[in-house]
Amino acid sequence: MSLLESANWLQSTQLSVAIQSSAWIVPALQSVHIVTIGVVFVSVLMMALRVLGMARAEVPLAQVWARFAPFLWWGVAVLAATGALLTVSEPVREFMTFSYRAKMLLVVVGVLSAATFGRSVRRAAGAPGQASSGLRFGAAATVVLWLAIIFLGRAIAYDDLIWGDWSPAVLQRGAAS
Amino acid sequence: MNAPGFVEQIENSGVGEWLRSSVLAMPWVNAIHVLCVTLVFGTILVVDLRLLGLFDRARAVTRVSDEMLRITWAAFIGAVVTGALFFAANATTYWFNLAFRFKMLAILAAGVNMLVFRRRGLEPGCTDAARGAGRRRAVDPAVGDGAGARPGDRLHQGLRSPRSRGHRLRLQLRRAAPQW
Repeated sequence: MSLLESANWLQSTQLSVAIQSSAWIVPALQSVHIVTIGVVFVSVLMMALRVLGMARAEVPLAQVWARFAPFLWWGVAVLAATGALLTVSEPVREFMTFSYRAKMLLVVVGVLSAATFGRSVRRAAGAPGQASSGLRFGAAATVVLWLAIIFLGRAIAYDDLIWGDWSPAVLQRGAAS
Repeated sequence: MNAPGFVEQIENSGVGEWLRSSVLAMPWVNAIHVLCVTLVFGTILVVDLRLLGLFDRARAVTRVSDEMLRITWAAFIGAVVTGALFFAANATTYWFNLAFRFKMLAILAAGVNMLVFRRRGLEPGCTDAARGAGRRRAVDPAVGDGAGARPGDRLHQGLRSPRSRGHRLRLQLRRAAPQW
């Protein structure tokens, strides 16, 4: 079964139809999703700013991680749940975009890098001085990564405008006409 | 029913035309708007959780708010600018949209809320010297975690950053004799 066929099948399931036929479920899911992005992104940002010495400089790094990690992980869980339901509501529109596919890839990278970051912070706990240059680069890269994830989420709606021939939506439209 | 003249003017303005005709303008406006909105919410949440005494109790309220509110304000300005661009692109449609009107009212309420906190001195840019005149037991990181503060407490006095020469003088006076 091709990706498009799977998407079509998913779109015809009872759950998908139920979400589609409600006027308020999708807007509600989107609202929760976007608010939670705020929680997750600011948690990442605060950790990065701490590593770079631009916020909470007087608080030990491990303590900053302990303060924001629960928000990050619960936030990611809420994002995954609401995102999955939003995907089920219109899988063809999501799967058939370059933005969605790239976003999912970056989400996996983002979650793995956050987990790695947490581990290295716990290992470095108690070490004196400022964060290593590797950690500082990782912190900046993580912020850029989550910015890209947020941007790609928005870009789904404009996929063929932004990506042109890279957008499978264009190929699909070409095949249909 | 027609939208008021000024709304139609906004929609027919050069900016409105440009936004509608440009291929990539709206995706960028949209992405920046959402980014700013998430930053506003996420940063204000950190401040609110501290005000509620649920997190960061070892840090002074003002220290948390100083750090976060700078980001909040920058992001809020970004959200207003990109939001205005959204409006310009389809002004007459937004004008008659009920959700849009409620949203504007909610932003107004958020502004009033912010002003109330400003009057209580919770704004970025206050110096530690100005804070020294405050209620040390309640907010000084060296003294306590804020547990002594009660609802209704002014968190500290003499906190507002000077807005004019007269204001600066009044602040200095108050600092010199906080028991007045």
